[in-house]
Amino acid sequence: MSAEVKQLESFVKEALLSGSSRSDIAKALEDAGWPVAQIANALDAFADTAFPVPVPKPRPSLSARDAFLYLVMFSTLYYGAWNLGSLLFSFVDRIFPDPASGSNFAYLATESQRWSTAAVIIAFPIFFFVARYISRQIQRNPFKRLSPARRWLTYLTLFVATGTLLGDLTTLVFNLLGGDLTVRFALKVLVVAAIAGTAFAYYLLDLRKEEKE
Amino acid sequence: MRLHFGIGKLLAGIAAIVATAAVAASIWLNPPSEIRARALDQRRLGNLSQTENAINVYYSLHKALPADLKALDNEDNRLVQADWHDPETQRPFDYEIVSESSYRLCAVFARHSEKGDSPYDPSPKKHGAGRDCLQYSVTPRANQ
Repeated sequence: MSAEVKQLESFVKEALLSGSSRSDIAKALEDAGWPVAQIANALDAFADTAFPVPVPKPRPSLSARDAFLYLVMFSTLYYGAWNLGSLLFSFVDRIFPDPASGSNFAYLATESQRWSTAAVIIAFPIFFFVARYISRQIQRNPFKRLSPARRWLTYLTLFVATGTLLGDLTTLVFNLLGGDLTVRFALKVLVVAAIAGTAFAYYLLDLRKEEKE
Repeated sequence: MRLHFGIGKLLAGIAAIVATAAVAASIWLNPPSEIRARALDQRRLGNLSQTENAINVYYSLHKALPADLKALDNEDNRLVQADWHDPETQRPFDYEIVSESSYRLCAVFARHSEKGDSPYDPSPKKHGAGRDCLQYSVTPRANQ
């Protein structure tokens, strides 16, 4: 926890001790220029009870359980997204065969397509199930939104999606500059952009929502 | 904020639909029964090719084709041993002598052969679905 947050929380504690109301404290902090989200967090660190001394609430911490849930969610997301991409690639290859790669290996192509299909069948239902479970937990206890495992892995996912988009666009421009843009290639770029873009958009919106709350 | 929530749900819904459609298309393009049929035919062709090799060796030893496939099993030389049965039904392949140095092996195939069935075979045998016969001729060995 940063020194700033500590300072803010000790102020809230003292203010509560002195008998100020929560709305007065919030107003004072807002006038001092603190962001609303941080004020809410600091006030939320203490239970709203009639006890004479401010009662601290449990803090979100990197619990092993959270880490497990988020690791399962994001690893099934990566695994499923990768294999969905590879599956869509195989359709593109099938519809627009590359004259340079021999059709001798059609059998191997169906083999890899079969693997991707199996991976998508397994990864996506688990991903959606865990994601739904987590979002229900958050609805019940918005405090969990602040879980460090969630924040770190979400930002990591944004980073991976950004990196993928950068690489994808660079490949696109590289081939454009080489005057070598086939339908087959363009479709593959589109597949990567759609998958990485969807993940990026979804988790960016998710983080924004969190910062607004 | 409501809007963002809506977009998030929309993205998740699209992802679920695309994944389901991709899986369905993949299974439709490569039905499991088709994959099994191809695997069985590959084993059939493997046994046929074993038998072909054994007959080649038999020919180089005896300067004649075996009278029937059982004759292969009576040899002591291990190179003449072969599994000349269908992997699925365990019935022996039909063996027909065409000439002094050529013969046919017949088997019941599950499906029509396709280009790319056996990527590592430089000259894969073509066959139709159902009973089909493959023509072979013995190649006398240079050292014989």
